[in-house]
Amino acid sequence: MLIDDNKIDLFVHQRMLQNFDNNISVSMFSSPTLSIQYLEKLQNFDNNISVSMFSSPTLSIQYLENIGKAANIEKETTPDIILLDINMPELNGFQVLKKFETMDVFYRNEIDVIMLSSSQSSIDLDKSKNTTLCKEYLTKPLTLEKIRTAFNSPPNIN
Amino acid sequence: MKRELKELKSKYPAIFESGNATSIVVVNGEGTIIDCNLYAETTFGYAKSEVVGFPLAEFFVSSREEVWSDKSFSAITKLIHYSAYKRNELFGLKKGGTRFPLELEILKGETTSGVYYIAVMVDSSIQTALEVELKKKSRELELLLYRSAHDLKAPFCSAEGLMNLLKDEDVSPNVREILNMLETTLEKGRNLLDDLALVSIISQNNRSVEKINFVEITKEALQTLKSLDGFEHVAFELQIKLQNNFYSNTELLSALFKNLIQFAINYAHSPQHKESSGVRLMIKNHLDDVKIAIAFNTSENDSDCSDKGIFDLSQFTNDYSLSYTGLEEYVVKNIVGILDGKIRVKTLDELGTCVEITLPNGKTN
Repeated sequence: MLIDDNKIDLFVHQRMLQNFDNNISVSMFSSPTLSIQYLEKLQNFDNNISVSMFSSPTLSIQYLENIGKAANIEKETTPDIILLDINMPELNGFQVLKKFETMDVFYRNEIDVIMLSSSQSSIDLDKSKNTTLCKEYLTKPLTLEKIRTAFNSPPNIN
Repeated sequence: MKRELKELKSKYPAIFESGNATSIVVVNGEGTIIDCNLYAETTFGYAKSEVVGFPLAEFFVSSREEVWSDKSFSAITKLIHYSAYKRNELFGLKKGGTRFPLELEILKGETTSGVYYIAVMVDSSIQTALEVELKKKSRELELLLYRSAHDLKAPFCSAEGLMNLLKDEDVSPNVREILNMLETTLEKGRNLLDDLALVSIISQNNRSVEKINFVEITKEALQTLKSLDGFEHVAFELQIKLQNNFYSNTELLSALFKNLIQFAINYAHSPQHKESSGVRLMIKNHLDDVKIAIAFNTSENDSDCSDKGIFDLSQFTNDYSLSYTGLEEYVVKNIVGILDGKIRVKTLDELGTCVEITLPNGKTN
């Protein structure tokens, strides 16, 4: 998932990711608020299933099938990695990240967040280091080399 | 005492009674007012008859009230000699209760009947107001610089991204060559914007002090500048003599080296130089500081560039021949200032110029 208010950057990053691997499915959000709403919907969907499972003493086959379908939908629509811009007018990347940190969907699905910014400021880098979800900090422009390093390496913020 | 005071007043009437810009108050050895000039009356708003016989200390307040719990005269003299004393900490107290900043000097005199003091005071309200305004403007300009550097960087990065996509397309060798030139140009612009944002005061709060690896910093700087015009014509010589560990901020030093070397390349590779130029970078440290010197060849026409005032940014307003290196100089000057260092430019015998920078060690233990 790409979250960036700059539509040209969204286009460039999507193309770069597909140049890296054509099988990667990319969803794009130019509004950080909409991205949060989308992930909240995923989370609520997921929570409803969990609550139902634990509150119902007997589960019908039909219901189990529904859960199976739901789990598939969730699997298909939940991103593995989010590339998040920092300087955005509506909500900045760190405010978005703070919100993400309160959402179970990130921990249940092990979604990694990669900060992607034109800023090389050590302030931004340090802020990223101090978050639990941020796996990597990349500077724009996104290149194949940077994608390769970030996607194949263990958490590395330095 | 009165007789001698009269003598004093008759001897220096122009100073004592002129009342144009200076308040003069005479006090005895106990700090009690015995006379004052007209300007002091106007400034403080009291008639002479209302203040004579009162302690001078009654008419002062300080922003640091604890120092002024003692209202005796000795407290004033102590404050004046107090090592942390700064202007703007001392205020005059007007009759209506309003405060105004002042500069105070106390002169001691002696007569046969005892010691007396002359307090000479200048109202610094206008200077202080101007200083506050100047600081505010300076802060606003720094903020503008920081925001501009950041905001301008975003389109640079987008353009670089688009160009990277183009490079992956099947394009002709001519187009590829143009793309490479475009890449170099964009990278140069982006680096400069990074450095400008770095030297702004907004970034000062988060500057860590760590052990500096000069070899690594120099290597990185040269690597970044490889694509610069004229780089291939410059022969570099590097001398590093380190006796102790040096601590400072790596980011700032990296930007300093990059801009300093770029500056030297710009000057060394002047159009008059057909053959290759030499740039010698020397780094030598002692326990308390490090000396960074960069010497470079200059053509005969440029040999007096220290006299031309390089590193004097005011030159750029009326001498556009120097403006092509303007931003590098700005960055270097600002970093040296931030790190409490000193910068000196001197002309060498063999028609060369040397820029010498001394930076204090951030940690000497």
